[in-house]
Amino acid sequence: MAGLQARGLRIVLPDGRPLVDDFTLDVAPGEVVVLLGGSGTGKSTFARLLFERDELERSGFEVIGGELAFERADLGLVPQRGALFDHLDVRGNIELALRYGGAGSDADTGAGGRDADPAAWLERVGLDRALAEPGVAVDRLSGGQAQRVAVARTLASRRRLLFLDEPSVGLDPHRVRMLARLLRRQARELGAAAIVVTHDVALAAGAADRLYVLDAAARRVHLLFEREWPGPLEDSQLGPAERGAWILRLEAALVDLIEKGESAAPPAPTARRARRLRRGVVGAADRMTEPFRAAASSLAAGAGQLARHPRDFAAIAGRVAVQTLVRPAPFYAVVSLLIGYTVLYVISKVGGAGVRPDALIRQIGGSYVVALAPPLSAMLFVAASGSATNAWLGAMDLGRQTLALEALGVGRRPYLFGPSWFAIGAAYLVTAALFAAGMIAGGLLLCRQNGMVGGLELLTGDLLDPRPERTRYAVRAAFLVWVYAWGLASDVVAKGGARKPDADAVTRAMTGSVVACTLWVVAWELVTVLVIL
Amino acid sequence: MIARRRIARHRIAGRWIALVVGVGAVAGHAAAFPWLIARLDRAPLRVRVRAPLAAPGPHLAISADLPGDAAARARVVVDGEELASAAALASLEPGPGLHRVEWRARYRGGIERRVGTTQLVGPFQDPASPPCSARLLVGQGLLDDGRAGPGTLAHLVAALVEREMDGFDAFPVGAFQRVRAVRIRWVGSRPKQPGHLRVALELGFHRAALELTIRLETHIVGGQLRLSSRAEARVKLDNRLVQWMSDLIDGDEIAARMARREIAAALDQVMTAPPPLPLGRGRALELAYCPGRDIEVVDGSHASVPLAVALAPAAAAARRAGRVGAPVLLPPAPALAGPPAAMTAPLAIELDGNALNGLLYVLWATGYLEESLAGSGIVERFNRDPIVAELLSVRARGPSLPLPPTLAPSTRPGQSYQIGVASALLLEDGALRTPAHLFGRAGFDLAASEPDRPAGLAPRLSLHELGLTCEPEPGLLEPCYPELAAQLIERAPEVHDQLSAWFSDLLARLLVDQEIAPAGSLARFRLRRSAIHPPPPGQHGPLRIDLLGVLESAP
Repeated sequence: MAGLQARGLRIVLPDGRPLVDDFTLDVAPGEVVVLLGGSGTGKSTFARLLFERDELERSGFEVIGGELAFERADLGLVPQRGALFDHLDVRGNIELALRYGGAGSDADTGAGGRDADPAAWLERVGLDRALAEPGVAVDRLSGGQAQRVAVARTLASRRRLLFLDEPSVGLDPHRVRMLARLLRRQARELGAAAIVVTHDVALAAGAADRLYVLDAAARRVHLLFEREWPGPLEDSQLGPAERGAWILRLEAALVDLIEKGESAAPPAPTARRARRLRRGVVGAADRMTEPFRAAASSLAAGAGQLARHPRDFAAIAGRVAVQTLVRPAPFYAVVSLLIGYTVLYVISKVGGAGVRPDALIRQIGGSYVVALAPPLSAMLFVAASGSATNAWLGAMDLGRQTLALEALGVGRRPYLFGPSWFAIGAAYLVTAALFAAGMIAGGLLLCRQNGMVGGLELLTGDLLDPRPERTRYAVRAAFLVWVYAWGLASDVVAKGGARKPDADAVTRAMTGSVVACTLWVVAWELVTVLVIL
Repeated sequence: MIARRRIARHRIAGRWIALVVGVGAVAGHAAAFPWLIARLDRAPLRVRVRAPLAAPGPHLAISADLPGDAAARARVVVDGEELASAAALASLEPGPGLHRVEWRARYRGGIERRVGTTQLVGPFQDPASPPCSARLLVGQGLLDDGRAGPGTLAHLVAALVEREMDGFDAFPVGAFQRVRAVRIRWVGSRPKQPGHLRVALELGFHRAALELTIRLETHIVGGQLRLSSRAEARVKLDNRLVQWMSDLIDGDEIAARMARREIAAALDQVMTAPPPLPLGRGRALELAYCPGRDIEVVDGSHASVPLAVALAPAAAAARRAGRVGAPVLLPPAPALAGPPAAMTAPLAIELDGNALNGLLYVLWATGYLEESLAGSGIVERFNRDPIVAELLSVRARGPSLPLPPTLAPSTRPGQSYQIGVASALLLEDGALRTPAHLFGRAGFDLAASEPDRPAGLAPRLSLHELGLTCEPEPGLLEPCYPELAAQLIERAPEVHDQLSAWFSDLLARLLVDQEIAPAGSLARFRLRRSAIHPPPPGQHGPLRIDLLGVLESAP
């Protein structure tokens, strides 16, 4: 079954106000239905209800009673502006859908024949096959092209129940009509069903078999023109005047409903203060404990992804490695060199006049690296590399790419968070090593200035072959680097992967991660010092 | 719907499981850290040894247990030479002397940790029958400079005879006037004539001159110097008429009497073994005649009296003090025989390695060395060093010397002997007091000293081995303040001067401005200063100490 039936669903907002009292909507295979409504009437909530009901309920919404029947495996999402995955090229977007699409399909082997050809899917939605050439970046596409690629991606994943969320945003009237025709063709040729959520009257009229509207005042879904609607205008034989008349009529009905909804007094919040407080506490605890969950789930999901989809694992891990390691590497190199030189220089001068600097440097050896490299590299890493990945993950959520992934049946945790977690951890391990090397290089400069021979051996001795009384410090440093790697990775994934309702949430996540990771570093520094004393 | 609820429940359970696993992972890491530290912490170089201070035989008698990590890394070094394997230690026969066995572990960056123990290995000298390891050289210059000048035996003999003959007046020679001539010479051995001392005197009387010739042979019998004399006398009268009366004067009797008394007394003085050098509190450094050995006389050159270091009193003192050890018996070295090179001093003593070890043993066994070392203030200087005083919390107390310092032939080019010294210290670091051992081995750089220099002695000690080891409990050796010890070793050349000064001072107290006068003697030897003639570099020959002084009559 590729249809959907919703009967009498009641959706309640976190503050206790009802959003919708009766949500009823049907769509059958080969049908396109359009859900119209004003802003804030619950269209997006309906999308979340379909794609991330658990998240919705965890954030305080309640879905009470009624019936919602559909096959999750049939449901595909075409988000606003396509939400193409920007870490992949156009071909990669389609290939990802092909690999993960359909129940029981083998991801990396894919289906055979024409269905396995990304170019064929692009062609099917009226795009040039050349766009399927490797290396065509998604940001080179126009809005209409991106939207079509998104449709092709969803279809390629063998989803036959399409949910299109404001698909005409940013499209000119010509491309809106093209989109409407495309939807009709897919419904006709593939027997696909589609639910289109839009404000766009032209698209609605052009594509819809039935028109639903969310009535904010009555908090229910109405079927518009129940017995009058002539069907999708793009498929009908109506003349331009009649088409225009229907569009105007539709627009008038929609405006009328929106006006009614805006004039109706909103229901008062009914949730008690204690409940809100409890939710606030639970939410805060949830946010605080999320890094721990992220650690466990990312480890399990990432390992599974590496075993089952090594190519996808490598794609995400490579992307994160570039963000966290390659791009900031010069920064780490310069900073560590300067810190290494400066710290050792200051130490070499603490004896004052008459004390040989080289004698003090010999006493210190590489202990300044052992002591300082883990915390300094960790704090710099989370501020630079961690924030980069945090922002990337946040932007993916903000741009609904994450939701699109889920809608394709590609789990966020295995596909995105697991490899990211591994890549961040590994990148930090490499960064810490680079940072230590930089500090040693800075120390070597000072050794050369003081005419010391064997400086490299001296400065690396405490790391590579420490004398017995300093072994525990080297072990501690290695342990801290290990703990920081996965602690930082867990926090970045937890905060970066959290839902981002707006752009400010991205910066909040970045700042919060820097603070939390710094506290993590400080706590471990103190605890381990107390243990080895 | 039911399936969705089941999925939702599973998801909630999954979140809880993930939380528990995540928190558990963190808690596991926290718990693992102390375990990790305990597991990966490298065992310090801590060696449990069983080693007596002195080995019973010619092999090192040392067995050691090292912790696993340290055992794999440690190298065994004996007297600065690395052994191929630790097992080779048991079969090593290093020769007589103090031997330093060290376990060293190197770490990257030139860091080294070492612990060591010192063992005295024989064979040893028998205190009851010490080897003949020294000789006293009496030069012709001390006997007679041709003018019977002051400070010579001839001068002394003349003075003694004149004092003895003062007031003599007999018919027909008349009253004794003076000693007109005196000549004394070493006469080497010839067939049927042992080497001896020939003294020719001419005594002037109022009417005659009496020529005396005395031949004195010297022997060591029962550890004592014995003189046998044969005297001849001839009277020269100014008036031939009374020649017949010469028989009335028993010139031979006079000569024999002088030989027995004045001349023998003076000779006894110059050929006596140096009297015990007092070390204070009833202790003495003593050389004794070597029983059963002849005195060697070289014509017109010198006589050589074989001597041995008197060890028995010191050994008895050591036993009373509970000290372990004896002077080592070094392998045969170039014999103490034949003419010494460039003998210009009136008196000289030659000491071979065994004699030097014997002397060191006596100095050690009687506690004199410890007193001297304490008096030198080396440890106090370390404690008062500005760097130590201001920057370090550790202070040293002591030292004591558990084993006799020992000389052994040096293996270093240009050095004849090296001295090894094992000392025990107490290191105080706040309330923590740790017994420690400091071992030092120094090469003697005894450049021939200039006799006309006031000090006359310029030995230089080059410290080329220094090891500090703590022994917090008996038999457990561990590195001692390793950074500090490394600094001390690095700064060892800076203490050469201090050590050299201490050793020069020790020798000067023994060998400069001394009066050597046997009890009841008519004469004494006033030692002004000494000059040391080391064996040629690289040879383990005897050390000669020229005793520069004069012979004078006792007051």
